[in-house]
Formats: sequence, structure tokens, C-alpha cells
Amino acid sequence: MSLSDPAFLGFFAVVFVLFYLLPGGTSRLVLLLSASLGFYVKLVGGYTAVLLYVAAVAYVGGSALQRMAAGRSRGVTFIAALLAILAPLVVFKYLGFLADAAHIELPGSLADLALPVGLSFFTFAATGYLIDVNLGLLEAERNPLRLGLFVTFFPLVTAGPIERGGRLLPQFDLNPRMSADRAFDGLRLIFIGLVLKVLFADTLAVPSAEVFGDPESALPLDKLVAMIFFAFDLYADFAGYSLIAIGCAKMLGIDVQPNFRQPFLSQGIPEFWRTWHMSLSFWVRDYLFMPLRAKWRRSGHRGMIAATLISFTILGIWHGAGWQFVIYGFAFGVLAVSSLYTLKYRDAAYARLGVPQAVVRVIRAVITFFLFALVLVLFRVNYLGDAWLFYRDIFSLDLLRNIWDGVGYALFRLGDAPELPIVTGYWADWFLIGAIVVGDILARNGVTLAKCGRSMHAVAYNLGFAAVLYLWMSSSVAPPFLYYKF
Amino acid sequence: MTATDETVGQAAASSQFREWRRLVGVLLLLFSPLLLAIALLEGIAWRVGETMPLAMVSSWQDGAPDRIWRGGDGHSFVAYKLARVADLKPAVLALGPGRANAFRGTDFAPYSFYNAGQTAWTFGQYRHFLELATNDGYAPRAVVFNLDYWMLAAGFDHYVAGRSDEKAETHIANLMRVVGQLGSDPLDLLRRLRAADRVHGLYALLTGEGFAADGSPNAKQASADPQRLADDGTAAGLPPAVFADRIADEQVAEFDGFVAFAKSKKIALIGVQLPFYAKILDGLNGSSDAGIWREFESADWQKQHLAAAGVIFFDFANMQEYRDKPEYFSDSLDPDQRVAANVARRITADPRVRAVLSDAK
Repeated sequence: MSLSDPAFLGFFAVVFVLFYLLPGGTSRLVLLLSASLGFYVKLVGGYTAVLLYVAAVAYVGGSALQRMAAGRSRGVTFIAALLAILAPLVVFKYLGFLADAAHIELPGSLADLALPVGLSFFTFAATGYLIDVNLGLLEAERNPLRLGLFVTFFPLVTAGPIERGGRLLPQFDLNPRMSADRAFDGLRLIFIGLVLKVLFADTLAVPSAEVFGDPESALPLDKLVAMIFFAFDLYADFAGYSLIAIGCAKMLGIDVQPNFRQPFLSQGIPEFWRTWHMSLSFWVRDYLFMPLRAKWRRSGHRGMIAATLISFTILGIWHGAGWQFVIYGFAFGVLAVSSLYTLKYRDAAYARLGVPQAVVRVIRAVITFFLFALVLVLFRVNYLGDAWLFYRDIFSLDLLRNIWDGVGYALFRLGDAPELPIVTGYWADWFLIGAIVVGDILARNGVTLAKCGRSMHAVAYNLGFAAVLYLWMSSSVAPPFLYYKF
Repeated sequence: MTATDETVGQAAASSQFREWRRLVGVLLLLFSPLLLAIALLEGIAWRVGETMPLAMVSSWQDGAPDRIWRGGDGHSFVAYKLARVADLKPAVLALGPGRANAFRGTDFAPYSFYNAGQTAWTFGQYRHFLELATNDGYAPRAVVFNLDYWMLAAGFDHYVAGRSDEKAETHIANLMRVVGQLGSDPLDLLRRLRAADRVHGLYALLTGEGFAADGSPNAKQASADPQRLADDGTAAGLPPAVFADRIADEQVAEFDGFVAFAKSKKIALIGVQLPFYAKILDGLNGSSDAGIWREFESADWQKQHLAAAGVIFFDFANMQEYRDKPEYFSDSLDPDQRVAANVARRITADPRVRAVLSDAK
């Protein structure tokens, strides 16, 4: 049951009504905790034990650290708790990869372990809590139910945003009164999230799946188009999912940090990662990059570069267990460092050429998008070799030939119609991409649905929800939520 | 609690109630166009009969003899026919693939009859249909079932696995079918709604074809064009031209299971192999690969397995009056209504059948 399923919305509606029928405090806490555990059990059954284990380690570890004075024992306790919290992540997600890399054969039971949904997300949330307690930034939570809810909170448990203890725990007094305005705000986010996920993402998933499923057969131009479609598919899918999660939390009076801020308008890779999957990139920044940067501050640029590369590589590995994810993260690190160190030269070049700022912004946004989409191929392919097929074709003269043939036929009917099933068969999907881009530009400039008049609301909600309903009803098998495997 | 506390409490509850009312009111108002559209769609789908529960369809069909139904995606009619059987509780039930379709209620008068054809192709599926039909205590006095030689060929069950599915279509699937039709030709569908007094189900409404109250299809069978029948699409290896060396033991076991179940419910089994025309008969008789045909047709096998099992078997495969008259067949598998009526007359005139149905209604 994903957050975009009708069954989840029915479940949430019941939780929402019960939440506000109950008096505040413990009764609501118990309701949300029960709902969260019930939700997760329905998803993964017995693997819920992993979630409970992580929550228990966070609670026990945090409590122990709170009681201990600074010193060697506290350090050892912290390391032990950290290893205990990260252990399930290593076992369920990375053990197979590590064993392959070391040419070790795992026993059958270990090799067949399924990955509990959301493991990477709730493990990082719990780890962040533990680190904050250890650094004295946060007092350990004394109430096990509150900490339990922090780790298991059902809108966030499967795919984030990865929240911080300091932000979320204080909100678990759970005393807010029912506010129609807050409910509308939450519903608006849920609505936008559903439209993004069900209408945009599930539609854009189809053409890219065709090409990524059989990259050998696809022509270079189809590969390029599939690459672009997939980038927008992933954005709509994940941003939509995050909005539904944030909207549900908001309706319960809990504010959750945003996860995306129009990333495809970014002016460079560093800015991109401050606007894409923000909860993860800020987590890596705060708990990995900043400590490394501080540790190596005397090493100047080398320290900065090393901290950046290591942080991005870890970020890449978080996404999956495989060499393509190592390269995925490392590549972004290289791009981020290059961007930082060449910025002033690029600025000077644009100034020398007299390129207007508005045009520079567009050029930078387009280049940033393409760099992201190129590296993203590593995230999507099943095998590293398939990524090579993509890159080989996208950077080949055959791509130019495809474009030439396509344009020539389309405009002047020159030659035979080129066989580009993705380009020709899914041309309408470009309107969806255009809508996403326009929507982001408007949002970046403060023009949001919230600020529109009533008639616009009515039109948007009715048409949008009609489209979502239609797609729900007509899809017998929904494409899987892309971040579910994390 | 003081009066002030009580007043504050009441005020808080009152303000909460106002917030709920505002939330629900605004949502209803905001989505009223969509809700109206959904209500309209549901209304049209109901009028078409596509979203009507099958038990209600059956009651509706009882209301007049000329009412026909055919809805769903055509994958399986088991749920519909089970609903009709539950409603009618006939004394005589016809069971089989499309070949059983030709039997009409009038052919079996004065006995109550229902044609549950086009729901089961194998002995296992026959048994399963009967299990479902009899689980409320009802049992037909007799089941007239297609017993064709190819049902005893190894692998036949695998060939038709999945055709017989008792799951009714979901409300959403049925609604989407109507939505799809409205999307492609709304005016045509809306014009046809007038006929929905007599016709239910989207397919029936669009084509005029469906199942009559007695379970037989109302479609006029295609008149057999000898030229068409010369190239009737019969393929070696598929019914009615199945080649195998012998009858498969596992299929006999399936048959025995079906017979045992029928016996446990005191249901008399009347097996029928309907006529084939010359092209098929000559092909089977003349082929060295049709051992299964010869074995099935042998008096020994029929005596050992069918008579011994208490199955009243009518082998009309080689009926001389139809053998050389392809105009009595719509295709190589399906003799038409006239043939079925003749076959039914012979069945009901048989003393063994009369004995079984002696006090049936």
C-alpha cells in the first residue's frame, strides 16, 4: 500500500477523524503509533521487527548517552549504538554487494533476505537522532512511545522526508485542535502530490521503462529522450510522494520539512543538491560533510574536495548496493567540485560574451538538468554495462544522425520515417514535462495554487482529481514507487 | 468542573464542530462537479446494466421472457450463469463449452431447464461449476454435459486452463468499460439506453446479442455457407481435430472425479457428443494419428467407463441426417439449434432419461 493508493487515503481518512475525536496527548500518540505499526506490518509483515529494532536501539542508545558524561565510555557507547543501528542496513542492503565484491558466497538464508521497505530512510532518521543526542544538540527522548513514533511515523517511514529528532519530537505533544484551514493546506499538498505521482510520474514511467528495459535495441535519440523522461518521472514520482507525506502530517498538525524546491531550475550541481531530496542531502551535509570538513580544515582545498567526494559517494551508496551507485555518487561529487572551482571562470566568460543574465540562468538550468539526467542513468539501469550503452550512444555521431533524420522527415518529409518509437509514440508526454517546468517556474516566483482564486481551485481540483480517479481505476497494476527499494 | 470550565469546554467543542462542518462543506462544494459527474456515470452504468449485481440481473431477467444480458469483458460467464442457476434451480442443467449453447429451454420441456454452456471445458471445470452451483443445497436432477473425445486427450486441461473463472467482474472494471464506451461514442450509447428495458449489459446493448432467460444465446447462428465451411479454420491439434494415440489416464481420473461428485449429489449425468460433419469425421476416421478417437468410439471403452460409471451417453457424432449437411453447422465445432433440438428430443425420449426425470419439474 503506497501513499498514492486509494486504500491508503481511506486508511488516512479514518486516522485523521479518530485523531481529532480523541483528546490530545497520549491517546493521540497511541493512535498514531498503532496506525504506523499497522501500516508497516501490512506492508512488510514480519520484517516490522527490523523497524522496531532500530527504534529500540535509538531509544536505548539515546537514553544511555544522555546519562553518561563526556569521555571514553560515552564514545564507545556511541559507536556501539551507531553500529547497532546501522547493522540492519548493512545486512539487508549491502551484504550481498560486499560479499560479491570480496568473492564470498553467502549462505542461502542471507542471500535471500528481502529489503524492508524504507530501511534506508528510517535508519538515517534514527542515526541522526543518535548523533544529535551524542553531540548534545538534543536531549534524549524519555518517552519510548514518542521516540517510537519518530522512527515509525507512517507518512514518513517508507520514503521520508528524513526528519530530525529536534524538529519532529517537540511536535509530538499532539494537542492541536482541528483546523479546517490547516486541513485544507494539507489536502492541497496531498492533491498536488497525487497528481504528480499518479498522472505525471506513472505516465512518464512507461516510455523510459521501454528503453531502459532493452537498451540494446533503442536508437540513440530514443535513449536521450528516455533519459529526459526518466528524470522527470523520478522527480514527479518522488516529489509527489513527499508532498503526500508532508500533507498527511500537516493535517495531523505536524510540520515536516520540504524535500524538493524546484530542483530543475538549479544553477549548478551544488545548488541542485540543495533543492533535490533535501532531507537526504542536508543529512549528509550535516552529519558527514561538515564533520569531515571541520576535521580537514587545515588541508585547505584538498580537504574540501575530499570531504565533498566522500560525502557524495556515501550519498550515492545510500541509493543502492552496486558499483553503479558508487559511481553515481562519486560522479556528482566530481561535478559539484568542478562547478565550485570553475564558477568564477564561467561567470567571466558569460560576462565577456555579453550574455544577458536571464539567458545565463536558462543555460545553467538546462546544463545542470542534463548533467543530472546523464548521471541518473546509473541509478536506473539494471547493470553497469547498460549505462555504457547509453553513454556510448548519447555521445555518438549516431545521435546527431537520428536528430537530422527525424527533423528532416518531420519538416520536409526527407527520406523514410525514422523508427523512433519513443520520440514519435510518446510525443504527448512532452506536455506533461512542460507542465512540470512551468509549474516549477511559477512556484519559484511565488505563484502557487494556494494563492489562486476559488474558481481556479475548483477547476484544478476537479480536473486533477478526475484524472487521478480515472488513472486509478484504469490501472490494474501501478508502476512501483521508484524509491521503494530504499 | 465550574460553570466557566463547562462553558469553555462547550465553546471549544462548538468551535471544533464548526471547523469540521466548514471542512466537509467546502470539500463537498469544491468537488460537487466531480461528484455530479460520477453520479451521472454510475447512473448510466446502472441503466446499461453493466454495474448491476448479477443476482439482480437474474431477477430482472425473470421479469420478461425476451430479456437478454451480456456484460463483462467476455472472459467468463460463470458468475452470471451461477446467479441464474441459483435463481431458477432448474431440474435439468446443460453444461459445457460453446458447443452446449445450442440447447434451448423449449427443447427440454416440460422439465425446467437452464443452459450453463460456455462456462466449462474440462471435467475439472464441470465439477467445479457443480460444486459452486450446489453449495446452497440445490442440485439439478440431471446434467446434460458435452462429452467429446478430445476432453480425454493428454494436456487438454492445460489448453483451456483459465477459461472458467467464477470471479465476477469488479464494479470498477464494469464502470470503466462504460466510461470507455462513452469516451469513444457517447451519443451512440446514450441513444441505445432506451433499449435497456429489454437488454442489459454493455455488449448486449451494443450488439443486440446476449444470453436469453434460459441461458442460450439469442444470437442468430450464422447460416452455414458450404464455401465458408470448406475453409472453416479447423486446425489439426485443436478441437474438433485433436490427434493423440490414446485416451490419457489422467483425463480419465478427472472424469471419474466429476462422476463421483455428481453421484454424491445424486445428480444423473447425461453425456452428449454432438454431431460432426463429414470433413471432421472423415479426417478422424482416416488418420493414423487419431487413436484417441477410435478408442473413445469403441464399444468396449464406452461400456467399461461410461456405462459402468452410470453415465447415460449419447454419441451423436456420426448422425447420418447431418453428416453431409454442413448447412446445419455454424462452424466445425458448433451444430446449430435445429440439430440441438433434434438431439434434445432424442435424449428426453430415451427411457433411461425419462426414468431419471420422472418426478422432475
